[in-house]
Amino acid sequence: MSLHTQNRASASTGFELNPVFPIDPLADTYTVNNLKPALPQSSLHSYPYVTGASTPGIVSGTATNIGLITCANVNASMAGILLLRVACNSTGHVLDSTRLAMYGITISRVAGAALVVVLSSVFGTAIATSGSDTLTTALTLAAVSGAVTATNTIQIQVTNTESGGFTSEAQLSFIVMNSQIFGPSIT
Amino acid sequence: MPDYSSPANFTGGITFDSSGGAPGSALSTGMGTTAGATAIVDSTATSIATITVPNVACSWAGLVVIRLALTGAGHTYDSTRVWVGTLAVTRVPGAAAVATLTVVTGGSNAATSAGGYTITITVALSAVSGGVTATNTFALNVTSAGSTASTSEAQCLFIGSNGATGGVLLS
Repeated sequence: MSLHTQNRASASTGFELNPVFPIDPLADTYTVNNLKPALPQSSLHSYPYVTGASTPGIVSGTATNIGLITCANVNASMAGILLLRVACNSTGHVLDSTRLAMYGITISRVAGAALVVVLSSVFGTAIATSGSDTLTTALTLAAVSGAVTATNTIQIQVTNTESGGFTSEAQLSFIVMNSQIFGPSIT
Repeated sequence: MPDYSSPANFTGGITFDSSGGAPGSALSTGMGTTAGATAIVDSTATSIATITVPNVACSWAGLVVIRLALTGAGHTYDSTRVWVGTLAVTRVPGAAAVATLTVVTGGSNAATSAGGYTITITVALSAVSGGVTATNTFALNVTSAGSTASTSEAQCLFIGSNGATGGVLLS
């Protein structure tokens, strides 16, 4: 889920990410990787637009990994918002209902201490339903993985509860500001 | 994809022209990040973005997302805070521009490393600057306060829609 691709048609519908990630409207596809090491140094560096692929087959009521936060053992800071799209996708109920939920996210680490990530309360929710099934969703974080002197990771997990107990899908978009290019990443 | 392998190809502290969007679009949507500010003095209102409104009929609305982090010596990135709000800007020619900033309930939080200093944030718009027949500006001010007085850095990201090209400018 580290790369996002978008076709020409949808890439030219109005987002202008200038000048961090300007979209080339003539490109058939473009990619945005928020851990792109070739990005230049900046003391205040941002990744304002990253979208991951949809994760299908999420079992109702089961926490499922849909994103991964990684941070090296350095002083680092990231903050922004996560936009979560979830939808029914089981046989007979494909895209019956779609839900949007947003969360603030803050990430902080000092070298030699564990990575700390905090999600805000959910805000900006909306749901559109055209079929018989609906779903609720909650975004949570797994425990930090890795020693205090090593790279740390934290899984971003979604728990979707489908009204009929069926499977669903989820997708995250990230709009984040990063302190440095080798700081935290979300993939 | 443009080549960002060289700093020469990157403008660094960026300016977001919200009147941009798709070329020629009268109703453009855009997203961008301001350069923000570094070495923000503790408990001192500091501008991290400017809203410029020409003396024309114009309208902008969208989200404001702010990253604030401690940067004091020995405490760099002890704590990071996100602040999410909504911003609406409107003006008719010959009248003062009006801008309204509102925090999004539940959208803000902080992450603090174990034992680190914590930080709070207050966000406010300045009073309008400029006459009713001239270009008006507002400063988006951040006041940060560490649990122990410390400098901080902040940057601001706008996601919104503009009513007209040549209208409201966020930078």
